[in-house]
Amino acid sequence: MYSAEISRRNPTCFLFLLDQSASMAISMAGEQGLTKAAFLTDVVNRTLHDLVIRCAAGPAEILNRYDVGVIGFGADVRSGFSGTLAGRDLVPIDEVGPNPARLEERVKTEPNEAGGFLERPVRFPIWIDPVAGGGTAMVTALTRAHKLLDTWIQAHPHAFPPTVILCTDGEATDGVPVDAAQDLRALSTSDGPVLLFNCHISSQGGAGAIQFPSTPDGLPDRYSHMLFEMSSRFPPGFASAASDMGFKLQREARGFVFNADPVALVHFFEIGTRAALMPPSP
Amino acid sequence: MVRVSAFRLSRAGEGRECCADAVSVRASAGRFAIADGATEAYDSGRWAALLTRAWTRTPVTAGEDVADALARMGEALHRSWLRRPLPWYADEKARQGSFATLLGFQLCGRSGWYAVAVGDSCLFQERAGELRTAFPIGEPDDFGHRPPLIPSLPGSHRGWARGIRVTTGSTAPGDVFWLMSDAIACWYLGTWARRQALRRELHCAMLAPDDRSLGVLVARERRAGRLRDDDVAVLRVEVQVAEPPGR
Repeated sequence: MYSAEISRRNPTCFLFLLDQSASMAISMAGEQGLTKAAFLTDVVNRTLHDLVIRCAAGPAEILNRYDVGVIGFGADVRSGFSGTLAGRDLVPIDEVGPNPARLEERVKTEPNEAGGFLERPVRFPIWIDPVAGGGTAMVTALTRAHKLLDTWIQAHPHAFPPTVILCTDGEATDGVPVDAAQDLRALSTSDGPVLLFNCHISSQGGAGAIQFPSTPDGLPDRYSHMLFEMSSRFPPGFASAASDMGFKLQREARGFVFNADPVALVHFFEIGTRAALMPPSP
Repeated sequence: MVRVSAFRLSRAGEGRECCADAVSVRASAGRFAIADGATEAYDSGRWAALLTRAWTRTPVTAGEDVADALARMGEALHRSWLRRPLPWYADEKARQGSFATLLGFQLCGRSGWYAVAVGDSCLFQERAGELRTAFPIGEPDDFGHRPPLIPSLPGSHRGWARGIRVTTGSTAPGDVFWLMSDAIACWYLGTWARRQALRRELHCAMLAPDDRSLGVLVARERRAGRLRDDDVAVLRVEVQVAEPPGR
């Protein structure tokens, strides 16, 4: 299980489910002036950037190894893409790369050969914009994900299973999401069931994130226990990605972070998209 | 005298232009090379081709330091990329450089050879039906997914030279040397534990007048799950018995 080679002929899928409820307009803990929606959007754009870069193989060539979707859930449930891709659900990565809504000019600091640092301008692609309003239609989003991935799996029955990454700062307002999450995780390719990783974003700084627990012991409340139960265990290959970031995952560790601060959120995305690093190379 | 045959094939369903494996031969100088461009690297097929050509064109007594030669080649490659505006993703990826394995093989006179390897492209030597040399990997289980690679920006990856492996050996008339990229090398090593007939079929296919037989063999072994679906490059170098003078 979770050993299928990811290639152009056998791509995998990443689906991001993003909370766009009104509470996402509150400032992110530890990030003065930056809302949770803005910070999460930035992390997702960075993740999409990295997925595209990983597949870029030549001047006009992006190896089509992933299909990618972004679903926002707030006042309604809809595609999170802006610009050319607005309204699209799952998009091949070779379409994602050339079609950001816009390119922003940013600065990247890099070490130079003389031992110093060099600042150079880079073009940073923006595919999704921050949205915050309405309730938290998490159950509807999970149901929508189920529908999309059921269809996707029928077309890719032997693929490395899709990875679903859900980020929220609060409880669902459209029902209890446990059954919808279980249905989603019951979908399976011949290489294993769909992976569902959940991240709860903190509204308060300094509370301390609980990252990748292997048991619900120590989780503070009923809600955090529920999110834990909704989350998949990490497949074995993910441990090395976590180890690179200083985490020693227990064998039963789950793709779940509670009370994530900015750093924990970035780590969550990097480890959660670990499937993108699966072989081959070269 | 050597008899040389070569073969390249992309992953199933992809055109030959997608193949990131490269081979180069300069039989008159006894120099042969094979390289495997890293799948996730930028323009790695071209980098692999540059590396193999550099190996076969360099005289045996190189006057240039290897690191300098690599840096020079890498700079030329990077200049060629940046001649025209690139989309944001290509620009970003090109800055990371390219990566490839290399297996360079040199026949020295009538009785010796040496080989240099970085990564998991392999050299095998057969003599009288026995496997005499397997370099740098000797067991199918030893192929990993993160082999050492030669970077096109050696200044940014100074540790790469720790991956260089060198070996030497002797030759005899009738010896067959195989240079193979990783997937087919792994398969080939597996044939020594079982399925000798497959190896005989490989010899015959490489000596066929066209690529069809080997294409059929590769496709069948991929379907059977014995050969990983990856680009394939093979060089077969047979040291022939010298013709007696006057004939």
